[in-house]
Amino acid sequence: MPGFRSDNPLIVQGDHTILAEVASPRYEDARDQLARFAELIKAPEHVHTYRVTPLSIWNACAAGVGAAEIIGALQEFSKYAIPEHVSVEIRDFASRYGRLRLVRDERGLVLSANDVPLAEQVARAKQTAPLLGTRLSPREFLISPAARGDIKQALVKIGFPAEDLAGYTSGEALAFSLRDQTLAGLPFKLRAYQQSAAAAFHASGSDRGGSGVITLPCGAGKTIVGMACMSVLQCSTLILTTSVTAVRQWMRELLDKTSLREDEIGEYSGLAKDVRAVTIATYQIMSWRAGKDGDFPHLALFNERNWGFIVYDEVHLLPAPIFRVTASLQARRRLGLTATLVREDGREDDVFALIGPRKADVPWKVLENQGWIATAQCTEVRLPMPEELKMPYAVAEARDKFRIASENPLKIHAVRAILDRHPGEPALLIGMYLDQLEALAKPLGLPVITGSTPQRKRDELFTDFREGRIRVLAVSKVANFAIDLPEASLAIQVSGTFGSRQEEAQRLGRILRPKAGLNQAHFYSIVSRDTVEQDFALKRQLFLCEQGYAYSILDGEALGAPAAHSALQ
Amino acid sequence: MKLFDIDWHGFLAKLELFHKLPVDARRFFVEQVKPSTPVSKGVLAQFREPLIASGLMVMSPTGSHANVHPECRDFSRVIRAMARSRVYASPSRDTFHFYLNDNLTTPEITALSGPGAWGRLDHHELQRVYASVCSKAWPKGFLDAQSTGWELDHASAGEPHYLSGTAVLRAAQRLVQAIAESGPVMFSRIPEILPDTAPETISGAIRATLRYLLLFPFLRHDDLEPMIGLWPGLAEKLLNKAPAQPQPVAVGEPFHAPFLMEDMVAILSACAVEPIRLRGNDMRIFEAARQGLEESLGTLPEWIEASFNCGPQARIEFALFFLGAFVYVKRAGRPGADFRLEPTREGAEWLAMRPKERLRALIDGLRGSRKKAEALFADEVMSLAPDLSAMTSRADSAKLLPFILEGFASVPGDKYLRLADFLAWQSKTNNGLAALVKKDRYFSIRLNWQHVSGLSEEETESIWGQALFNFLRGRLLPLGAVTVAVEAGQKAICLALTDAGRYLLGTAQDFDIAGDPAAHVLIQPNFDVVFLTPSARVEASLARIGERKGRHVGTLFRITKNSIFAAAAASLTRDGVLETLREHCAAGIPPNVEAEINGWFARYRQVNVQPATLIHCPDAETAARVLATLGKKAARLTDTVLELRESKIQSAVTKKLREAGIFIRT
Repeated sequence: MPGFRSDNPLIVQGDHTILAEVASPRYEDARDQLARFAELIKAPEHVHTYRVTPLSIWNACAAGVGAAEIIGALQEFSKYAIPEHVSVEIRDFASRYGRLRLVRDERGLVLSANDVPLAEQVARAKQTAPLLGTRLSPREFLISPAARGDIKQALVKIGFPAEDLAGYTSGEALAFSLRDQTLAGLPFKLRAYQQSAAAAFHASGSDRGGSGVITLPCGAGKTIVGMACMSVLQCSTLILTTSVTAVRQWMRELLDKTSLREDEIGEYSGLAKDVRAVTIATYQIMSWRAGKDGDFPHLALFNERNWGFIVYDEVHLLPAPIFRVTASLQARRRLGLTATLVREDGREDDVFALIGPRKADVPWKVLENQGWIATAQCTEVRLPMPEELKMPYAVAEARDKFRIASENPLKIHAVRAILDRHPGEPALLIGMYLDQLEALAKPLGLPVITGSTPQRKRDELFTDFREGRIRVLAVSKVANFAIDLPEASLAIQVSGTFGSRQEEAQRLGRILRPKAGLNQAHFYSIVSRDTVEQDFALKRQLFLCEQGYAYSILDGEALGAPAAHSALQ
Repeated sequence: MKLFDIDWHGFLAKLELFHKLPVDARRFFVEQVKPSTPVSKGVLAQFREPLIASGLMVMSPTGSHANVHPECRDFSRVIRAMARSRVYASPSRDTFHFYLNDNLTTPEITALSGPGAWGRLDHHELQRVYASVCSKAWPKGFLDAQSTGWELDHASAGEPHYLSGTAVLRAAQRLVQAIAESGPVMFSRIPEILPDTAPETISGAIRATLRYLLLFPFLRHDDLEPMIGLWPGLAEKLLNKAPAQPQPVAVGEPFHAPFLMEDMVAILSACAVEPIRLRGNDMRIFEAARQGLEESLGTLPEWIEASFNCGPQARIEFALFFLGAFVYVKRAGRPGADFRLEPTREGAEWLAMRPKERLRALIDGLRGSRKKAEALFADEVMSLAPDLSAMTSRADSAKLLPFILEGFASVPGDKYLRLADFLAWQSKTNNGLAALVKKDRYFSIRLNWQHVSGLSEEETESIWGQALFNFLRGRLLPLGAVTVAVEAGQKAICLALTDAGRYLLGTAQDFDIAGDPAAHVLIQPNFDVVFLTPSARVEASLARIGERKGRHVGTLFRITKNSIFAAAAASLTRDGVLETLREHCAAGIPPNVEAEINGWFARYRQVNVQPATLIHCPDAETAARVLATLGKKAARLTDTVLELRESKIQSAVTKKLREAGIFIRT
């Protein structure tokens, strides 16, 4: 084909996806360029897929990368000529950024367009018109401070994102610092990528910084990055996270790695309502209400103190009511932390508008190569169904089929075999069905944490696990989110929900921590062969492969589990 | 002459008015305005102003309509006649004959052809006009003429002399020579070509050249500029630019793939999975099915599709035609009642062959070394050069075929020749048709459903060149017998012969299907098949294994459970699929992908559905009695249901059952 350059790694396709050939000698340079303006969609072994979207282009523009630079990078690294319409659309997307600015001057909060026709368009669009105040000039509108978030959301929806340069309130001052040594006496220092991420967010205190999202893989230390951002801002902070366990994890980390005192850190959850200079709350409590049509009483926490900084942990899980309140908090600095910007509800543009553009994003492969996160080997172990369950399975309804297959009694042998394969390695046994977990845990003598386990008991067990007194812990769905178990290197999944991508990413995130020695983590998924469980496992397999994990399939017999015809012992 | 017998000096003057018009107004004037018919103001619309301003038209005193200016009516007639002429847009006998009848009278035509056998102009003589006028000998003879006496041999009795004097003759000759050297020119440039020539002499020269069909007027398509030129293609021949023997050239973008075979495989595979429904009215496949089949075809480079007219629709038609001719598919059912296309036993056997054997079967069928099947028109479809069969009798086709084969056999395998040069050279030096015409003056061929005789040298070269091209397009290219490419830095198409081509042409006993060294294909652990470089052959090969996701380059397929089931249903084996994937995919098969493919093949089962006759008995005891009576003719399915192993119960058996007290009710 004309102009074919075999050494180059990229193929730019007409649907705005970009394929990147990993084996190409120029792959790493190309990847570093792509990370600035494209989203990584999937990363299986040989060819990674990126996509250029309006949002990814706007994120790039917010970081100072223009259309010419983006197209130049694509041209430099492409095997073939770039489809002309892709270049045109990149220029078009990029041209829309920066044409509208929100600034603050003596008149108040002003939305300013770079030309009159655009101002007219904004004035007439039904999404934005109701949010505009007095027209100050042909190109300027006064905006109510309360509508700062709403107008940014609406402008993204009509395809013209606004650059918010209106600045922030400084909030209540809070002096503290990061420690050089943790409370446990271990040396503590920010890693280079954590420092860069915090610096990118802060932008030396300018109005271009102070709001945005930092994306780092599970296990890369997003909590540390959050603390680093807090330490440069030196102000009262509200942290929102996904569960009480996560709240307490934040509290532990803050005490362990900063000079903050216990009386300066408060928990705001179903169990406690302490509002302090640094307050950590759950999304659940914030979005709780007595009835379907009632108010959200705990949202008042946002106004309880003069917060200078709000941190949204696992921002991809931000519930709708929090979005609405965030729209009114645009004068506060805001940080979203996540391993993935992909939301199941597709509200990535609201995250962009209300939290801010992506400020930092380090590919997990880079962190893996540097040894900051462990490589993970994923293995699917397939077991036959016992003879006595084949007919009940065949005649069961679809949902029951899944349960029958998941609760295959032969799985215990596979679990034992896997644990024997990895002696001494701290392991999590993860399952969806509590009866099954109990049935597996009991003969193996394992403690079990479920949704009904009291918080105090959970904390005790997690502490024992972390400190090596318990080697294997059985956990149900509660272990999915935001639990930091740094010494887990083995996870065995005996039953899962219906192939949710987010679930798989979270489960693997729980075990991806740097380990002494091999720095290798293992994830086993045990399924019943030729059943719906295997069909659902295929979705999981596809997802994990697309995340770049090595994935293999093993017959249970090879692991030492019994064949189908032998009766369950 | 009918319309062109005008004062051309006046025409050139009026041309200046025409030049004032924008193109859309010109088009309106030419197509919508008749010389003597008024045009209403409403119809004139936005063209009224420019047409009136140019002076070509005048408004009526009432202002309700406009007419062509009386002094411009000849101009209007002539320019409309030029617009009707398709001589330059589509030069052929038909457009020539149309031009002839539109512009010359019968006596004038007869004067060029000579009277026919019945004393009047007949079909054969008309053909000869084309043969003589559209041959280089015609303008050459005129250019060599020393005096106006040349006209006497070609004018009708009583006709005024167009070459009214030596000045007009010389001017006309200079005009023809200049146009032969430069190509068609604008009418407005003629005075420049004939400087120092009196206007009436220029006018006479134009008239004469048009009268004697030395030059042809037409309107340039883009801007309707009046042009004049020789019969298309004559100029080069006139200037003695004989074709040179083609030399090897450097090329890029080489392409070769037996895509006809791959297309047949794709359609046959689809039929094997599920027979394709046919329309009852015309026995063709439904549009939705056609679109589905198009998705399964390999992708050809765009320049191949454009140059050889082999887009997806044409390819499907061609492949279906071949499948039918080789009896690899058959129609089953009845129109309106499950009318469908399904594979035959021969088709299934062919599908199960390895690619080389499949291709060999096709080539052998075409070469006639295979027993021809009984399908309708099989001989034509399966002939090596169907163009020849359409053009001539079977005996003459057999005489012409060796020229075609010999011509292409001279194409090297390791070097590329420019296709245009090759066709011109072969048409000049190895022209089977010219050889036959030379032997028999009245030799005729079928051209566009007409019998045509008296072929000129140029015509035989043109027809032969087209026959060669059609052989390339219809046989060599789709069977992977040639590699075509684009000349480096140019746009010229080039060709080289492959092993399969030598086998097809009969100069080799065997062949290898060449690999595709440029193909770089990867299988991802997420089951995507990614093409980093395009390869029609590999794409066609993998289309049977994966679900299509894209074309040319990128993620082209995804291997899924359903695609593997479909492959199994199309008689592919697990080992065959894995072997194909390993052969084409650079980094091998990821272990999880291989494990899943193995698992899916293991789950594939085929069941047969057939009608059965069941005997339902009221109780087990009755069933036992019936079974005892029928013996091996029945089998017990359940306690009370028996299956009859024969299609119906014989009367003797019925009688026995009755004797046992068992009466059958159907």
